[in-house]
Amino acid sequence: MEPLSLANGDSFPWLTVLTFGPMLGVLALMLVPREQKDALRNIALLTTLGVFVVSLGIYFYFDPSVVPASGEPFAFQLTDGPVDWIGALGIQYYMGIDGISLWLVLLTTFLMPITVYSTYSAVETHVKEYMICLLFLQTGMIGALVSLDVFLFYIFWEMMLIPMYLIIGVWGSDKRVYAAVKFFLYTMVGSLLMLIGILYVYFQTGDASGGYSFLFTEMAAVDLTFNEQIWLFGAFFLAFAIKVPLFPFHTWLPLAHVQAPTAGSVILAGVMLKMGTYGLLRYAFPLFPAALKAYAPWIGILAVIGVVYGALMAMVQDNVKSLVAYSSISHLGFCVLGLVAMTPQALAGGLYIMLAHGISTGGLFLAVGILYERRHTKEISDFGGISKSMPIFATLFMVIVFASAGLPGLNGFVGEFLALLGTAESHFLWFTGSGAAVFTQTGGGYSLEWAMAALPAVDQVGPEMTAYVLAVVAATGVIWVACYLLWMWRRVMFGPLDKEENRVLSDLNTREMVYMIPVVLMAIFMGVFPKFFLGPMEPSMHGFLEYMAAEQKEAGFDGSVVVQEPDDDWTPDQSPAEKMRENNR
Amino acid sequence: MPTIALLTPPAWAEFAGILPGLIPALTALVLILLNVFHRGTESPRDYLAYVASIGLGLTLVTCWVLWDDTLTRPIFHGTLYLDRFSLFFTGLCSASGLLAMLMSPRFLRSHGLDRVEYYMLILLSVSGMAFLVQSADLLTFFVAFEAMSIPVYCIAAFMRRDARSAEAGMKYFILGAFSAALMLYGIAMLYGATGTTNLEVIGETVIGLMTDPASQSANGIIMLGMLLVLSGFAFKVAAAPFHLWTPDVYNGSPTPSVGFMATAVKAAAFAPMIRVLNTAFGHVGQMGAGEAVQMISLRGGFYGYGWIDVLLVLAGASMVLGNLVAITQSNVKRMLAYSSIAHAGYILVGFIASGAEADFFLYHDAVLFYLVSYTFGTLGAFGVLAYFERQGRSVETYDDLAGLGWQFPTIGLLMGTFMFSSAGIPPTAGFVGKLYVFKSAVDVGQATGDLTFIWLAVLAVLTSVAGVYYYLRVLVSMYMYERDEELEGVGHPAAKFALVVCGFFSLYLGILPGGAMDMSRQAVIDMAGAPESIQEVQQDGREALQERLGVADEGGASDE
Repeated sequence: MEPLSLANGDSFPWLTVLTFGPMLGVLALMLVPREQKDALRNIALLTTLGVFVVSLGIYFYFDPSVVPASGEPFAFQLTDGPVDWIGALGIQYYMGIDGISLWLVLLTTFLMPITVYSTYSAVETHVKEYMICLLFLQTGMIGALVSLDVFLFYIFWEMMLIPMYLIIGVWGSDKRVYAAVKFFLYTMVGSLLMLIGILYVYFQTGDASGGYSFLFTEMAAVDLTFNEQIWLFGAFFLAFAIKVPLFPFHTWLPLAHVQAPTAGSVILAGVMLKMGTYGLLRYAFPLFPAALKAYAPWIGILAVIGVVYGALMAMVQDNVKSLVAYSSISHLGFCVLGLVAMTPQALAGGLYIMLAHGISTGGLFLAVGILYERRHTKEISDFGGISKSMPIFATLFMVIVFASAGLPGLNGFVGEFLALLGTAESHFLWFTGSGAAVFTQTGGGYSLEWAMAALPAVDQVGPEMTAYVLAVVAATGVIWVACYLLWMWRRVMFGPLDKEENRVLSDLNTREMVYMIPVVLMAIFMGVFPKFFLGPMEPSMHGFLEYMAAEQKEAGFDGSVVVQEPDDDWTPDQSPAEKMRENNR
Repeated sequence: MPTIALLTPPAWAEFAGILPGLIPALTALVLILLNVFHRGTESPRDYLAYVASIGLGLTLVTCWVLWDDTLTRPIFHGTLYLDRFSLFFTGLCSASGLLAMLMSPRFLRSHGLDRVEYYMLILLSVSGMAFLVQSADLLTFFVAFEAMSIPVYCIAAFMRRDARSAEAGMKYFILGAFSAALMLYGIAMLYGATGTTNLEVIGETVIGLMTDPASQSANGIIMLGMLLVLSGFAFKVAAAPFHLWTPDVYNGSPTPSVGFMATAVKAAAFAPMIRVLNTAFGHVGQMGAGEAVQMISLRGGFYGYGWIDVLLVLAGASMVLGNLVAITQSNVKRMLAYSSIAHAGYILVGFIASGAEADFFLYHDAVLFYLVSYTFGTLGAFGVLAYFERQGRSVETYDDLAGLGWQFPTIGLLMGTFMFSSAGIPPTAGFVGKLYVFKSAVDVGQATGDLTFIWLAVLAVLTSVAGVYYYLRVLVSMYMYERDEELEGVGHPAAKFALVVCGFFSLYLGILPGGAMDMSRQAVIDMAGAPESIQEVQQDGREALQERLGVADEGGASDE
């Protein structure tokens, strides 16, 4: 056996260290007796902080100018491996990041210490196991984001479920068991069908190189017939759509959020839901481009329904947490719409929503958690006039609410604006004649023309109508979001302070401020300097769109993907580390 | 000629071939002898378990040593094989027996059953299994089959003052005897049609008869004989609809031995199933000439009414019934019984894929690997239940398990691992096992273009979601409900050790399954007695494996 060298060349194996760093914390936690709760909490906090510091390294060494080679959807860097892991099955250990996963990894490492710090007073029972679960979760999430071997991705993807299941089931509220089991089973159904799909593609990789391979790049090179793609995309899409969750696969989410402890909700909303959108973008879209074109308008419709439905549902919730949960469905509808529109702005918007939603919804759940710790209720009607007794909290909460509502200058606005702009310009969401034909063809006798009849006739208004309609309907979501969030905030924060219990509430203590303020600052920073985040993404997004455009051309849908040359000023052409070295010279 | 051959004593080298079966049998005798010198009824007999474990450990080592000295031709006048295939299964069965044995002493003592017979019966059963997986002849096969089964019937009824245990023994014995009789009837039919009991000769004769237009009348009797033999296998592996004994027997038998029954007996029945079906019924022949040439095979494919079709029905029924009924159980032991039916179904999926055509023979390694992963998960689960059980106080419903995870963190963690492994969630052995089986089904489906295989894999996936639900219920009970009263902890070091070993392998095989996969591949490649079409596939596989592993595979099937 050859010596195990993970890193390409002599660079530091960043991603391996990041992924398995939390495991060191787990080992340390195992050695500490369960009675020493403070020690356990501090170890977990230090571990996540350490991982965050290490993760700054990948930002530092990430070179934004790397573009995918032609015919490749993505260009990965800072790779670890590939090392043979299970030789008999052609499974390899291979990790890497590109502009798409870079920020998601950083979002994860940024949110984790905040989450851990927020549980210092929230969780009193089984602290040791709780912290172990959180650290396992972090390994699973980072691993899933950086894996380049589809099998490895699948392992991490499933590995995330176990700790989250325990977090909801053990430390949740009254109906926690039901929520946990539902969460687990829903996700499991989707991902097992995806596994069959993965295996199917896996067996097509053999022809060229001899042995089969689970490497993403090998899988992306496979040529699949249209019919195969339709089925396989369905399997992948189901898995990711459940995770997002896209309407109508969302029913597990409000339940899981309401029952989960605060930290569980923050991570679930902040990072785990992004796994669904990330999976769509990374796996489902580039692997089955022709099927995507056929499905795209329908996905767009589901996303728009999600936007409006989530918002309307959020408006009528009595429970703050389920309100925020439904708002997640609404926001992620924007995100999926942006991803599937296949224009540069929409894609950037979709990716930006992923980050912004992670910060702002994470912040909302933290705020709800702070209220819950004081009042032990999540009912909106139990509050009122809180701003008088908790002014600092009211201010921070307000910024986050505005961020989530998409106020310009805060992070939510950038993503939603770009996504809507891009969707309106999309050619990909059109119900074109050939797209319709595709459906009647795959239906195998069951023509879907009845469904087409409900839409404006193509020859009367032109196919671009589809994209406009979707964008316009989605845009109403921006109004709804302001309605339900501001209304909720008014009912909780303003009004008469008529409840005796609410008068004596203490304002934020130092610990709470320490974890709330970074979230608020990040929401402002992301709103003011979107370029800082979008710049490094740009080449990756451009490469992806070029790949999709080429694939669509091959599939007979030329011009459906909008590709624009990225602005050179917009994108840094070297990594921060490189730049620093140059400046020093 | 045959008479002379019978009169010649076997060569000395051939005696090595019966060592895996001989050692457990001799250990059983040693145990009886030791027991004679045992003084006092009160003093514990734990040491008997350790001696017996040493015996099984020795068997395991023997299998390891013999791994590179296998023979292609049968030994003892064509009655036994010594190939990696049989060594693999003997090793698995002795490992299972060993672990079950270590879990037993404390359990037996607390039930007032601290007797030597228990260990002896397990040893004799393992000895039967060793010969069963080696058998090259339907006669040795049947004798070994019974030698394995009868001790297990006795173990099922071992808690003789317990009504449920007596019921279990009775049910198991009567139904088992019935199915053995049917099997014997099938063997008699095959003997009547072919005039021999040797598997290889049966294989050639059967295809000869079926391709000969003059002897078409024999087809019916061959078919019936095959089906009866198959039904005997289906009974032993607990595949629906031959599963009716399973829940009652698993529920009533002494808990640590249920682990042994559910794993070793199942594995030891699957091994001759692979061997008999492929050796005796795996030939392909041609009938007619020119344009009208017809391929004759007993495999059947889908709806050609061969054994593949029978297995298809068994697999589908086992997966659906096992999983759905397991959901409704409130007793964990019964849940595990039904889930073992479901596991038989998953294994049969791999079986169908790899048996579909001779070309896919090597995919049997998925079956072998699955059995390994299943063994550790299931054995461990029963071991955990046995760990808390004592006279008059059984721990077998979900409510009994409430809060256990917090009170016994190590055992809880181990049980969690076993449950995740059985449910097939990464990174555990059960996941890789399931993946391996589904993979072979999907691959065969792609290679043959027959979507039935893929739908079978999809069915397996969907039913295993039901499996996730009831396995998770154990975790729900253990971690998400509070316990009112404290449960007495039992710190028997041997039982704990056995559980840790099971847990270790459940994780190890999930994270680094490469070694076990290569071993199961080698075992399949080395299986002796297969018809020529399969031998070619085996040869290709051997070369491919050598190339991949990069070392000359010196041992194994090199006697010419």
